[in-house]
Amino acid sequence: MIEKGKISMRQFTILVFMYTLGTSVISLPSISTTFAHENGWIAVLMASIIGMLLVFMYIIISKLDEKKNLFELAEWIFGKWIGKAISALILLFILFLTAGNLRQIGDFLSTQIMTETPIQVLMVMFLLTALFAVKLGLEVTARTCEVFFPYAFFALLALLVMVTPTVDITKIQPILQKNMVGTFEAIVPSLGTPFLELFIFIAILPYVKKPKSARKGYLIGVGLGSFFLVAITFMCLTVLGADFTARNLFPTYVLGKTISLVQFLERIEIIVAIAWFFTIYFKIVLNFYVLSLGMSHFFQLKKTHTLSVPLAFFIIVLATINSPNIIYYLDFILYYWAPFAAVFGILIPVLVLIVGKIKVRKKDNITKTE
Amino acid sequence: MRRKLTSIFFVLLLSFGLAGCWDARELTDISIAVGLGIDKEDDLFQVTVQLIDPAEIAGKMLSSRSASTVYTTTGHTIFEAMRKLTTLAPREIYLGHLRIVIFGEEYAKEGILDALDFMSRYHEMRTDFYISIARENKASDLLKIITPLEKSPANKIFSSLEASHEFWAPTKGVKLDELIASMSSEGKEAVLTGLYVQGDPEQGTNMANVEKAASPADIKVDYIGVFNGEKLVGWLNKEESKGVNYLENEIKNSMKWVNCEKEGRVSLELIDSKTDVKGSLQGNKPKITINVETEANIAEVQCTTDLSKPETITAFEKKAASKQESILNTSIERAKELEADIFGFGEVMTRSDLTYWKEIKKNWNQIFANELEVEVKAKVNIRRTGTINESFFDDVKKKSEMSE
Amino acid sequence: MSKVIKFILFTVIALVIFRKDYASIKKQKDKKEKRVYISTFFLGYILVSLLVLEVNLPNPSDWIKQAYQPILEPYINSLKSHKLLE
Repeated sequence: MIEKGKISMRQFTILVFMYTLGTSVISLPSISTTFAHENGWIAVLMASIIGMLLVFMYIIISKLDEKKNLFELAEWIFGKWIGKAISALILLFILFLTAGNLRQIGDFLSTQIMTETPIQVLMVMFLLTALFAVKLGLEVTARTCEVFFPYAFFALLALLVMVTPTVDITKIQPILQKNMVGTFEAIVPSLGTPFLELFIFIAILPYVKKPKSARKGYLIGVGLGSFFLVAITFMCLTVLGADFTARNLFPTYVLGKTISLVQFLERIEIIVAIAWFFTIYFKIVLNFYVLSLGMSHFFQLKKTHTLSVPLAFFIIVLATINSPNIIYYLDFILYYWAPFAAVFGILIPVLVLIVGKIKVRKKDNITKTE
Repeated sequence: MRRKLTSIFFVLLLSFGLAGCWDARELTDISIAVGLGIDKEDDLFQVTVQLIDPAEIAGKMLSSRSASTVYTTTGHTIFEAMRKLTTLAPREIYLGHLRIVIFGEEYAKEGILDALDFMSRYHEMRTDFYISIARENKASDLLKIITPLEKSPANKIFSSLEASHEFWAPTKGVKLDELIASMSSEGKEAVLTGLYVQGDPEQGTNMANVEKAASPADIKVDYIGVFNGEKLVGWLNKEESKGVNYLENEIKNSMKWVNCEKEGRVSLELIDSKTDVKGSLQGNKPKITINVETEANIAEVQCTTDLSKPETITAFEKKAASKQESILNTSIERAKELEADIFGFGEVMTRSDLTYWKEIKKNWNQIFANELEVEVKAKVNIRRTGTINESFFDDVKKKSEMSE
Repeated sequence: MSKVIKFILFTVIALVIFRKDYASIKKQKDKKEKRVYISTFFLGYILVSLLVLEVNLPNPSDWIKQAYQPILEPYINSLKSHKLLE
């Protein structure tokens, strides 16, 4: 084990929560509403139920050997060469994911808030702070996350509460009658962010103090995060309407703009927006951390963060070139991301699980016969 | 030594950041726009902005200069016109504090989609300003009026819209998200409140306008403009407008009067109204049933009547209810004339019978105008009679009769 | 011209970062560790340099799109038919 730090169950839960919200908190309402129309929130709800089932599977995988992380498991189960190949694929995916997240926060800032600042500058700033966290290691990241968690949590909660006066339930009626096919199909793109990305926590689970409580924390974190995603989608639909939600690139920010309590508490959307600066930041840090950890395993290096600086170069290059414009990026997220992520979030874990179970049973049989 | 050098290098590197952020804009570099008017002149967009002068609004030394300044330009697109304005205005125009957007009537008749796209796309724009139409006028003329009481005319319109929306039923404050939602919805048409100049518009642009106690020209909020799709097709007058708000469940505090048995009137203060709209299919014809339940207090009595009797109250309740029904019916009739379903009855039908809706949604506006049967049931509950119960009208009248 | 200046500036920054970052790895005796670090750093440096010099790099998203297009055709068409906004 090259990661020597240990984090507590509470820290782990918070990390999972932040990761689940991540970039999805600003983009998911638009993604699901585009296809599910008024039933967008139901699509998100069903996607999060499927997401929870996936988490159950990841937990069973980590139970194969509590002390091994994702990359060690792959090598242990498939042998050195196939294991390495699978690790390499997963690493490429995470590299892609990290770059995508970085691009998303860059796009958000440069369309909504800082329109004149070059996107590269925003991304470099974000990446530098993330690099700093990766260099300092998992323990420090988890403690930092504990500090910022209350802010993110209560800001989002406040957003949900403060828009309730403008909720209009008729905007989502009739529930589940129109566009049924679209609603069910919308589950797929909704799964893509973030539920098919949650498997990266198999790489962090071994570093939580008590494995049993860690698994519980995994479920609680995803559950709480999903609740917020469903609630925010619901609010976007009932306050802004399906059309406006689907049309906006970042509907949650527009939702924040509608807050107006007795003409006194107004123009506070940026305070809410800082909440997802934190969630996206920790998503990037965790992805970056797992990427760097996996690279160290791949090349059998001694520290988790040895390759973090070169990786930062890769990420920034990929984040700049992965889409020429926002429409291209949106098209990619809407149609291609979920199937692409499904290979890593469903296919590979299922393979690992099946082969792993067979291997464990064989081992048990051998020990029994002996 | 090397350590020192690298530290110095990093300090230098960091100092690049101090050169400033790209998006920093000081208050002295921007001028805040509070009103935006959009007209069409031949083929060009005419954009008018009303900027406020912070020194005149909040400064201690007040000069006789106007607190707001109006600039107008034209351009092939709205954005072009906006950017052209910077050649006229002394500073960069900031739209984040916009209070009101006004469309000229001519432009609204041609369709307002271009403006709506610009407003929802432009990042400085929020959704918390009111949108309205300059009735029988151009938006640019309306923004030029200098108003009493409020230093900035746009602010004056904003607050009177907000106040009248709450206390006076015939107007309706519409914001961007609501407008887009009802314009793009399949079973609903949009409405916007009208603004017009009362008095002499020429005098209104003069500072002298606010030097008199009763200003010669002022901006009035009245009438509701009805859209069919993106185009303005007609107006509801005061009486016809009232029903729109009743149906939208948006009456917070309004008034109405009913006739007494003999002569004189009784004013009712409406406190709360709940509207329940249901759709159904009767044979092959759509039917809408509207139930309005209103809570009211007696605010003013101008006739001899015995308020202590419960029967009197019931009689007033009935009268008020039938009056309310007729108000709603007038609004609905007028909307039918204009073939614009501004009440969202189509949405109601969607909710109640989806298969039927799918069949007829293409020609819903014709069905709305010709076939749709609307039944209105109103109920008024009078709860309180103010701080006194029986009016002294009676006693005083009797006394004067006796002396005769 | 400005891209050359940017490139030189980036090279200087990269050199400084390399010196700072390499210091911790230098202490270790393991040769493989150094080799891996230097080669990945160099690769990263090349990539960023190409970016700074405004060379058109191929977009990996395109590869994913192309690879998935044949399998996903019906799925994407079905999704597009349910899109709210035309």
